[in-house]
Amino acid sequence: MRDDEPRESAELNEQSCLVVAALADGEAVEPGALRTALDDPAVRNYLVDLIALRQSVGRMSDLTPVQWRERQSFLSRIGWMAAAAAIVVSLTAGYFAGQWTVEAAPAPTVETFVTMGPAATAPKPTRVVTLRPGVNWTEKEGEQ
Amino acid sequence: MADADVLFTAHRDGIFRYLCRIVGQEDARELTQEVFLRVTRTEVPETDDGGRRAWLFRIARNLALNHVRDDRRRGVAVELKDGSAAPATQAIAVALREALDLLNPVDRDVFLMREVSGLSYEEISFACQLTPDAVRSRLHRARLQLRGALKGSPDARADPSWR
Repeated sequence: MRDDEPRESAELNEQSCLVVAALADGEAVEPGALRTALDDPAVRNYLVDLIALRQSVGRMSDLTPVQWRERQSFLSRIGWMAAAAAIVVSLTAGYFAGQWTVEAAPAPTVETFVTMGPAATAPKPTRVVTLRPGVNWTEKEGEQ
Repeated sequence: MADADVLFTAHRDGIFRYLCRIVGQEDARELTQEVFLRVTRTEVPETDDGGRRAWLFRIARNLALNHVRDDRRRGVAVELKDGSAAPATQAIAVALREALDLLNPVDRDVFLMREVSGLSYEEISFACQLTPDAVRSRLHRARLQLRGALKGSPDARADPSWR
């Protein structure tokens, strides 16, 4: 802007500015309103400044490129992590579901086997009862 | 996941550029990733490209607002950074950054979404939860303020675009 140009900010017609801004922004514009707006030198200057501002912003936005490949692999990693998590969750859920739904099996019967080695011998008798034919061996009251 | 990949490829740069102006390049990278992480966790709305883009920018804006709020709470200065601008344009970039910093935060968001990321008025309206008329009005106000700041800046006067 030149120093000899009139101070126009205060005189700018806002409606006309909105029309030229919409044009610059690729929005729908009514041709009659645009013609009227462009008749105003202050609005024309405003339009030029919008473009200059856009260029300045564009230059400011020239950022160093980001390593988006890393980001892409990051997305893939998320996919793999999600798959791994799904497997772990389904295994855990399956385990607990099994615990809750399967009836408890009967306790296994325990049989005890005693194996006697060849060296094992029966204990000696403490009392020997001899059975003789014709003797009544049944117990009688008062006897032990 | 396929939707997230497509959205990521189509909109990562726009989101990143917008976030750069709000939180700086380093944090913008992380926040951009966070935006798309959120996308993978939610259902992408059944709408057209513009609608999805607006939806992404709404997520990005909310994340940026939270980030700035957290930084303020921690007492971290939020610096608007950019990359390696050419020396001739560096002065303008500095003046512009300072002027952006002075904008009302919503006006700045509206301006950045339009000028840095190329969103339409309707998309900005959805992303910032404003009416289209409010978007026009805030955009106009931001532009007037930035224009005034650059015209008043001696550095900008040295630039042919602002002579």
